[in-house]
Amino acid sequence: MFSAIWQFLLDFGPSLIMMVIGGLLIYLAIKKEYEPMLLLPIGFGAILANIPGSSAIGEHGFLTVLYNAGIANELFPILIFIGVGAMIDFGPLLRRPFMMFFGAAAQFGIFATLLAAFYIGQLKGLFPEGSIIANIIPQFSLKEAASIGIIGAADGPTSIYVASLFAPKLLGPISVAAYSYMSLVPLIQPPVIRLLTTKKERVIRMDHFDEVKVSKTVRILFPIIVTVVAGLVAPISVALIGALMFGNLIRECGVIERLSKSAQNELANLVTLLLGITIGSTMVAKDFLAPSTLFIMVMGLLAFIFDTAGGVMFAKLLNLFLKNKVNPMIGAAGISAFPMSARVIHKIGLEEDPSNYLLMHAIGANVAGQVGSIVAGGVLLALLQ
Amino acid sequence: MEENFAEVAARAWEVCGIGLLTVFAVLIGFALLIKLMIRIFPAKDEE
Repeated sequence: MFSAIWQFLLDFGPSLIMMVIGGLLIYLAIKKEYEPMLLLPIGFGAILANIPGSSAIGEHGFLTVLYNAGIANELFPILIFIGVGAMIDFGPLLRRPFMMFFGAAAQFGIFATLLAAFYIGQLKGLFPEGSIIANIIPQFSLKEAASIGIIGAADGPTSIYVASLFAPKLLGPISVAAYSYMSLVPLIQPPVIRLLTTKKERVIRMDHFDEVKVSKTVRILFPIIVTVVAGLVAPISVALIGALMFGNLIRECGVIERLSKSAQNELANLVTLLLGITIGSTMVAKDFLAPSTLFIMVMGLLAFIFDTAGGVMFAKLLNLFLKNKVNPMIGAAGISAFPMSARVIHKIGLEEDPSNYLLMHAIGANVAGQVGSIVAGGVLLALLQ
Repeated sequence: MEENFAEVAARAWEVCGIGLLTVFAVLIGFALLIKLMIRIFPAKDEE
């Protein structure tokens, strides 16, 4: 009896663990409301894929069919970008183009984490050859390290797009890390910001920054010109940036309201649902229950910390040269997690000085971060293709 | 193997350096483009 149970656990234990992990993701989505739109389908997809003998995966399984139709060829992230583009209002950024600096600086985490993930394999040398620790330390290739670094884009579709091209086997843990940490931005960013700034810096007001009025012509031209310029710099990024900007153009042009609404609602919702459950199906025990998953989760957290630190430190650097100082917390809003990061900065600003309203500046930086993360993804693709 | 690692490590640093600089260059370029567009197509009062 005991040996039969033991044999069952040996055979199906990993699958059971994966189903528990799937259940945990569903719990976090429902109970804690951590990115429920993605984590719930991912969790359920993981359960479907790990039921022994599941007909959901395999040659004719519907999840495998969806994977081949939407992830292996990067279609789903691209479609999501059309929806995201239709949802983004670039107004706060167009009124404060200066915020682009922070959208660039906060991508620091991507590149710092790429290096950290690449060098982690070197830790093996610190332990005796063949020891347990030496065996569990993963060795990531440069493309895999880039896919892990892109978690720092704080942008789910970009992470999925890059990982599906460079490291399809790591797609599950990378997606889970990206979406989990995006929902944890209110917990991750404040301590890093407080550590790197003084009280005096956190109460800096930004009322002196001019706000320019933006014409409809500029709003329409912006997505077209950005697509062309980014496409000329990195042609491989055209799919990513083009889809986002196409979505934004149909929003801003004002003559295809129905399509804009469809992109924002039906298209985005439907593809998000399919994307989530399909990614969940990649979380099969033999790939997911590996030491590399743990390392990816740690690296993902590091990426968000480095992003925040990069944005804040760059703002402090700018302040050395600026007459009208910037509140360095705005730099932290340069990550792509929209509008979570902007709200966090606004909240800390109000805690320090209840009359200091940083929200619109932070949203400008946050929107710049959305552009920055896609550009960073495109640049990585161009450099490593 | 050692030499191979050194080559790949050098490539990793190159990707990160060039990558971050390119992101900055492109985004600063976008900021300048926005400024230029706003100057060429100023908002009318009703906008």
